[in-house]
Amino acid sequence: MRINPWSAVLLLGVPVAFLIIFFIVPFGTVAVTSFRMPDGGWSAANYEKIATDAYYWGALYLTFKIALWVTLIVLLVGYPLAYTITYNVRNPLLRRFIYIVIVTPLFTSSIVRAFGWLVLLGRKGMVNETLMSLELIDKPLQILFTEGGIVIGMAYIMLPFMVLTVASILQNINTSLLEAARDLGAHPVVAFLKVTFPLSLPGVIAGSLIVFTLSVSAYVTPSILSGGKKTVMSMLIYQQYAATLNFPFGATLAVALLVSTLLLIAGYLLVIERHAKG
Amino acid sequence: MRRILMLGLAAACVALAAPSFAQEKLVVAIYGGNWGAAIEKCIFQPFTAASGIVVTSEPSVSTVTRSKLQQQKGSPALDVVWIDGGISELAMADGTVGTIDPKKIPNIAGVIDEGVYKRKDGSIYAASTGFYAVGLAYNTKEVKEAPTSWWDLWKKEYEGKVIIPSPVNAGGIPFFLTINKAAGGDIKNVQPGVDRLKTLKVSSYYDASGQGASNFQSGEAIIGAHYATAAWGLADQGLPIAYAVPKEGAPSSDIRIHLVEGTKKKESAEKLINFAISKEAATCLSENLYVGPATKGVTLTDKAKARMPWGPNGTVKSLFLPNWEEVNANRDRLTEIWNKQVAGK
Repeated sequence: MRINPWSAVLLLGVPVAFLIIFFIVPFGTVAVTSFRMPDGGWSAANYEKIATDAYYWGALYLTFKIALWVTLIVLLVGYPLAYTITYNVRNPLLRRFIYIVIVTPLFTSSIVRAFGWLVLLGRKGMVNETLMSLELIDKPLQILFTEGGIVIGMAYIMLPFMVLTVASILQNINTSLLEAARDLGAHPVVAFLKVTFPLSLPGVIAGSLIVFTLSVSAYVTPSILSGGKKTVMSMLIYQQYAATLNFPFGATLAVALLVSTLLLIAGYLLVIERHAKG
Repeated sequence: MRRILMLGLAAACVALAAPSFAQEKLVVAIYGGNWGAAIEKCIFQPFTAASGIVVTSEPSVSTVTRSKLQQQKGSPALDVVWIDGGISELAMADGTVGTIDPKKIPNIAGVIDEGVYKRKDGSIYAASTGFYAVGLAYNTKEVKEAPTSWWDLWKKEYEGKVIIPSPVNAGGIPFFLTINKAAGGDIKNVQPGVDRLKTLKVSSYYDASGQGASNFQSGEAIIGAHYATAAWGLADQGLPIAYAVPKEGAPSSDIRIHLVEGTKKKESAEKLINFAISKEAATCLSENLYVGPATKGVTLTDKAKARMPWGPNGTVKSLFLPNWEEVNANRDRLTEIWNKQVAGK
């Protein structure tokens, strides 16, 4: 199929222009700011500070650790959910209803949802009260303001992204392949592992990339659920921009986070590509 | 024909321009939440009713308002801004706020000395519209004996149920400095404060005042360093929360009004500022937000009087007003120390 060159320019040009205006230019400004010194000169001193201070490495490590846990949990919960919706819910109306239920939380601000978790996970919250009344624990568990609390809150927010991405791939898998596997005597589990799961990998990869990157950059949920006791990169960046007003250092932290996230993602994709070839 | 056309055009211009003469619009940066709501109710609504000048509010936080002014320098979109103490000094240093002329804004004579902020040359750059303080907020059901000192936060029975502001909160660094001072340190040596804060078993550190309030609501916290205004706001909702002024002093700040440098609606903006620091406006703000009035001669109800940031018997003199220039020069250093040694302990 050939398309008119002008249409091609328009088709490509609009998204490229959008990307330039709303991502490249602002990010370029941030990157330039990161080299600015208080006296108006230029230097890479901010990068040196981050690179040589264990505190910032620790914050970066915590950010990625939390994002990885969130991605893993969301995958473990989201995949079966997407699978069930796609293959086990026959009624199209019910399926649509389930989709709506999954998407609805996205309509609420994440601030409201984080405050909701404060109520649920607190010392006197529903989770602790239930466990206490069942006599499973004798004093409230400290879930709130821990890494675990942040992971729980973020996993809940990220779940729809995984479910929707995986389900959209599962829907397009040719079911006759699965039937063929069963006809040839494959156990349902084997058929899933050898046919369905490998074919759904693009969804898993896309979903995990979306969830991971969103988790790395999330600010509201970690800042509320950490109670200031755990500090992830987005919180440090916000602190520099909003409280200490050291914009160049905030910019440096932002660039460091973006670059290290890109490196991690590049590594992840490289491993998958090698694996796919081998 | 051509003449008629010209006349028509001129008439159209006049017609278009006329409403803007009759109804000038001011764009004013205020706060969000109940602070912004109180400013609209106590100042904007009566002001518009009296003058016909329409006020469009732009809710924001002080640091963001200051950044906006920096971006808009030369042709500001804002005419009047409210900025908190601490950030106000930075805006003044940026050169983005104008001068309050006592001839144009005669009510400035009615503002207490502590509420009039001057540059080195004596010109006024800001006027206070109310003081607030960070003191001891506590749950009256869980805390039997009313606290009197900051060190009460360290009591064994409150372990894990204490909240204090983080450096992101405007009260965070002033609170840190107050504890440090009480522990025997000064701004150059904050080790005494750090050593004390390290041993404080907190439930959490709050960035936003609302986060702190919600911790009191859910029972996660029973005592902490919090704003008098927030504590009494919770009490008004029927929660068993009260506020006490610690004997070592409550770090304070204020909400200040500024004329934006280079505003094209200077005259109207000056009228608004004059109204905002009037006795009626100050009384209304104090009754609604329990901020300490910066305008002289304000008579308060007994309820509001008992809820002032300086306590029922204090005055503005009992507040601990930080040396903001010193704080601003050390924000970076103090925040980093906090991150590494207090939050990251």
